[in-house]
Amino acid sequence: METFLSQLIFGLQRGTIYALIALGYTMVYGVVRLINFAYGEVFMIGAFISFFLVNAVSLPQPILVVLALLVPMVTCSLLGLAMDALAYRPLRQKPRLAALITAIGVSFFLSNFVSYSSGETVRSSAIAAFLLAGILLLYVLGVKYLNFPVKASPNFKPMKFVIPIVSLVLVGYLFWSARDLLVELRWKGSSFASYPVDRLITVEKIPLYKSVYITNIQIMNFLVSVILMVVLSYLVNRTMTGMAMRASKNNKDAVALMGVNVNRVISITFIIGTALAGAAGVLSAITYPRLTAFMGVQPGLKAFIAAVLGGIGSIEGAMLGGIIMGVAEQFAIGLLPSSYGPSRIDFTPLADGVAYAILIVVLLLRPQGIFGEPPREKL
Amino acid sequence: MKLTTYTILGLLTFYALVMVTSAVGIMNDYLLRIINLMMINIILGVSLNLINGYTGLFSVGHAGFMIVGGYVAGFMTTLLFGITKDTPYWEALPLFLLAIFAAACVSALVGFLIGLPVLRLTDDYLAIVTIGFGEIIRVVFNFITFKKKIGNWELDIGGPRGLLGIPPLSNFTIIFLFTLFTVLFIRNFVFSRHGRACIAIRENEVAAHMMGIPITKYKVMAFVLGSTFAGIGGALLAHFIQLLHPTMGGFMNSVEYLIIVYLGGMGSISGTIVAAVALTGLSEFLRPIGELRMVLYGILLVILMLKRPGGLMGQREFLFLLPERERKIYATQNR
Repeated sequence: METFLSQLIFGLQRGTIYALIALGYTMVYGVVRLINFAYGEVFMIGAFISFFLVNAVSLPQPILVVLALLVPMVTCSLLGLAMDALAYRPLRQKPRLAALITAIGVSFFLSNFVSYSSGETVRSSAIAAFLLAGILLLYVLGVKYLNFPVKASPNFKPMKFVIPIVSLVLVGYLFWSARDLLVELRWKGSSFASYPVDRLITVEKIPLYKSVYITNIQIMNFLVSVILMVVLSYLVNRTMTGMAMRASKNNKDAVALMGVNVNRVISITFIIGTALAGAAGVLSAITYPRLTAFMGVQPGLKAFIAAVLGGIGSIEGAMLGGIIMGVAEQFAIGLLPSSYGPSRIDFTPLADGVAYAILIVVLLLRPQGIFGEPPREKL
Repeated sequence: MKLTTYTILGLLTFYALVMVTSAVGIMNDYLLRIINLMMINIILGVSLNLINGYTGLFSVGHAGFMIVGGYVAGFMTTLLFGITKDTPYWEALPLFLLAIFAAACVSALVGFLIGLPVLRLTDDYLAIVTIGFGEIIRVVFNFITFKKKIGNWELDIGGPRGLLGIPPLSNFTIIFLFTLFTVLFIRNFVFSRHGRACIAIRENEVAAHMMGIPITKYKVMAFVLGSTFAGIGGALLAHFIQLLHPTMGGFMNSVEYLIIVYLGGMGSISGTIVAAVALTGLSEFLRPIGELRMVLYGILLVILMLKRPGGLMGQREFLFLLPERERKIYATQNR
């Protein structure tokens, strides 16, 4: 019972991270029918940006926690915007396969770029993440908002500038202030970056029931994801943008005829999805403080499977699917016999495969997922 | 379908040239190795093109099938038959061919088991499942670390260490013959009635269904054929690089074959051959910049899809690869 409860807590925590990434997959799929494979990489970049920020600035803990969460979210959402503008928007009218291949290309590019820049130590992959974000930001600023090369825009909205410029300045400041840190980190010479959790939060165990305990990191994890999910539900169900989003899911052409800028709706979907993935990256980095350039690949794939499990295109489905996936995986890790127990064979490597076993079962029994509707063929 | 005299002459000249130059010593081992690698990549690329290019499916797990074939063949030659480096070649060869055959069969079976349930669904699901498949393969091969004595043999495929000590049985002749076989087989398939059905499915699934083409049957057929040849390619590769590792079946490797197919052109065997040769050569040429190659691959894939979605060759073929009737049509069209 005690094992069950504590595994459940760990599983829920794991699940909320999957759920946050899965939301991005499912929202974009719902609107554009595109599987954006790059969310895992956005997750990784979010973790690195937060890592960099926490190392670079010294502020009181509460403010730092908020910043460490918000800055990666903003930067990642800009990355998502750039991704959409650069890679996916030109392909909107082309066959869906082309966009799928592009998505794989983007994902491959992002992870390998960070990996390449990291070389032997991870110190510079943080730079890479920053440079990348910076370059893409410049692009977005230049092409999207300034209509680069210079052309007067008829609907000039100052707020459109403020957020990107502020985040650019912030990124630049971080990059600048982190030079000393780089020198320092270089001498540590490890093959991965460890996230400085103790600068953010002092880990405390809060006993719940007998030997079952919950850490304050886990509480923070739950709180943040619940808040994000509530905000998301509000956004999707109660605002005009959300209504446009839900309508675009049904029929993009009709929505365009109603005077909605579908491209804008899609961009917003990308922004939300990547922001959530960035937040998931930070939460994951705080929980499992080991960052590498390929850390996003597995969570990305698993979150995607979670989205399929919940019914791809459905937001509640992604939340539920992510949590089911996390709990199932945690139970597999906790309950499979390992070589420490009576069993001679170590079964724990198989826990990594639980997600894929779930995928196969789902596809055989209910391919549309828990909340999904069966696909209809249109002529 | 027959090959023209010129094609046969060309192939013979190529074979003789490589054999003679390597025997005389003009061609060094490094160059020969690259040529062999190019041909193995041609096998894998052309077989993936049958799935992704001609039938319009989207398989992202080609390296998974490759590694299955590789492990089956490597297991048979190394552990079951106990072939080592010192075994005389003519004794080892029949067993090696048997192992390749078994690898092809197992890959085909795996392809069938995966393809049959999944290909009934829409095409997105194939991408999902094939990615998952590559990961399952990795997890499973990582897991199998047990050592067991059965009679004289000790069964140990290495787990996370990988399967080591595979005898170097793939030489130029074997790889050349299998490449030729693969290309000819797939060309003949593509220009046959079945191949036309596959192309029809790619162009418009609903219309093809209306014309009475059994869609699932042909999709599964193409998928199984592709995975069979991937298994053969994997067996050859395993006995060429003499090492198998679970991560070789993952997503990263599959992307390399995807690049070969999409760079060459979806639905063009000639394009795949050109791309396989060019990319393998290029990656040797770019060895100094090492890992940056992977970064460039990502950008290349995006730019290809944005600027030239048809790839280098589009759907065109070299004339010598076309069957006679097609060649005449081609000649009249391009006059």
